[in-house]
Amino acid sequence: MNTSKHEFLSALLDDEVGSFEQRRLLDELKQDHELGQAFSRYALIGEAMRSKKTIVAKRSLLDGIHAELYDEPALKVEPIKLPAAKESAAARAAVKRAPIWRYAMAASAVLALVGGIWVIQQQNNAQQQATLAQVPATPTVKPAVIKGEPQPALAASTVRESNKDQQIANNRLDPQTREMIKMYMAQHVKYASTTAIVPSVRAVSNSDDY
Amino acid sequence: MKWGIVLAGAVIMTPAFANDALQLLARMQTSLRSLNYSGQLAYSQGTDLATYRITHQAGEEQDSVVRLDASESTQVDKTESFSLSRFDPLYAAKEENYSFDFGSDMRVAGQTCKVVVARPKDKLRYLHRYCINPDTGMLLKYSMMDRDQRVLEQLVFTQLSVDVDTAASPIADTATMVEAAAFNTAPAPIARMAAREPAKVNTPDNAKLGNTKLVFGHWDVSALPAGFKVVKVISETEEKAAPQIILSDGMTSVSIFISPNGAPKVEDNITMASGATHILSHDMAGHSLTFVGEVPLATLQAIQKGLRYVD
Repeated sequence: MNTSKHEFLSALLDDEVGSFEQRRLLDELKQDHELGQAFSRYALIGEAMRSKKTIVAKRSLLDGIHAELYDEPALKVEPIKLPAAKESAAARAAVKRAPIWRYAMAASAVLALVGGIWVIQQQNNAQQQATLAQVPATPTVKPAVIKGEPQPALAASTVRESNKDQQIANNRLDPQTREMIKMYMAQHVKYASTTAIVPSVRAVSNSDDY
Repeated sequence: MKWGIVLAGAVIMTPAFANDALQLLARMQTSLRSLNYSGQLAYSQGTDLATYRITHQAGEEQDSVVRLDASESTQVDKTESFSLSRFDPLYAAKEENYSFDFGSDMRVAGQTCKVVVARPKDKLRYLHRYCINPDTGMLLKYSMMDRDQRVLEQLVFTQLSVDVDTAASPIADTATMVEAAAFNTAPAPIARMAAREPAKVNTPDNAKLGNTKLVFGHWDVSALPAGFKVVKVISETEEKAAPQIILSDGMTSVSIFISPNGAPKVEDNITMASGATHILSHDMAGHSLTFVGEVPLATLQAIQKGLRYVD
């Protein structure tokens, strides 16, 4: 079950998918037990968030959560330093009102939103260099030095382990770069496409993306 | 013994399936130009999902695409006519870069279609999955997936009407598969494309084609990643974009835009992605190079590494 299915499920619960997608998902839910389980979890989470009442989960759900927690890699958590005693009482009160994890969660959410689909990377990444080293190229050619390493693409498997600190959102592109990339995308679709229908739709889709 | 016979049969049958799959793909290419069709489709790119209406009249070089849903900030009735004449036939990949095979039959938009899978043989490209109506050659569903089987881009018709009378024309015989090797050894296909290409395409005078080197202007593109070949060079376009070198592996393509020193340029060392499309920019020898293609980012980087500026 891939990410997009999860997103569609979430959209289905929020009543944000069209009738065709609804039918397709419901048909799939009938046949895919794993998808059904995911759907149940999403529904339960949504219900819990809305009602604020205690929801008693089924045993299988808890088992699933425990199993997933067991499989999760252990995270190295740095201890949070408590404010020094000489700090003001007001500062301590502020920290108490807004724990650090809340800031972290909020910051993560904002990063995820701002990042969107388009991501830029401009710094070195040793892992990517390793991937590049495996790509066959004519050995007699001296490779150009890559100053900045890409990081990529949310969608590309080769670049998933990108350094989030180095990601820059599309809205930080300078206007000239934005215009030129838009033009290059259009040119590429017009002159370099190999299958007819997909590029024509891709062209319209891209024109809305920038 | 029985298993031996079955395995031997499978080995013998495989090339036949691959050829049939390639034939159906080639037929799809020509059908898309020669059919009357109108329908609605859902298209997802990365995490974005939208619906479109597409219309094409047989004999016309353009189809019309209208986005049906959009946010309030975007134009809902955005229409774009798109010329189909600019699509080049797939060249015969000859299973050099992909293995081709048939999947099971499916029903999409009320029509039966046959699944054709182009499975990459290395990490440089994505998997392409088509579902094509074998009677009309119409593409009903298409998806591109990475090595983790994640769908990067997908298109599926939800409703479609095809003019069957038009489809009855002998399109199968007109399917063209261009030999990839021709691009590598002689400029003839490039010149042939120029005849129907509005943009100015490189001719033999502009491109120095040696025995082992492939040089366009000052750029040596001899050292390309496995399976990629130069299929077209556009020196001047209607949109006044930078010169464009187009590479292909038979199923997908990469454009290299070369902006000379002093011309408007893209910021250096930018990488971007949307669905299967990646963009990479890199300054080299006083030029701004921008690579665009429906390939993994590492492929664009490999292409960039292989480029050389020749004085």
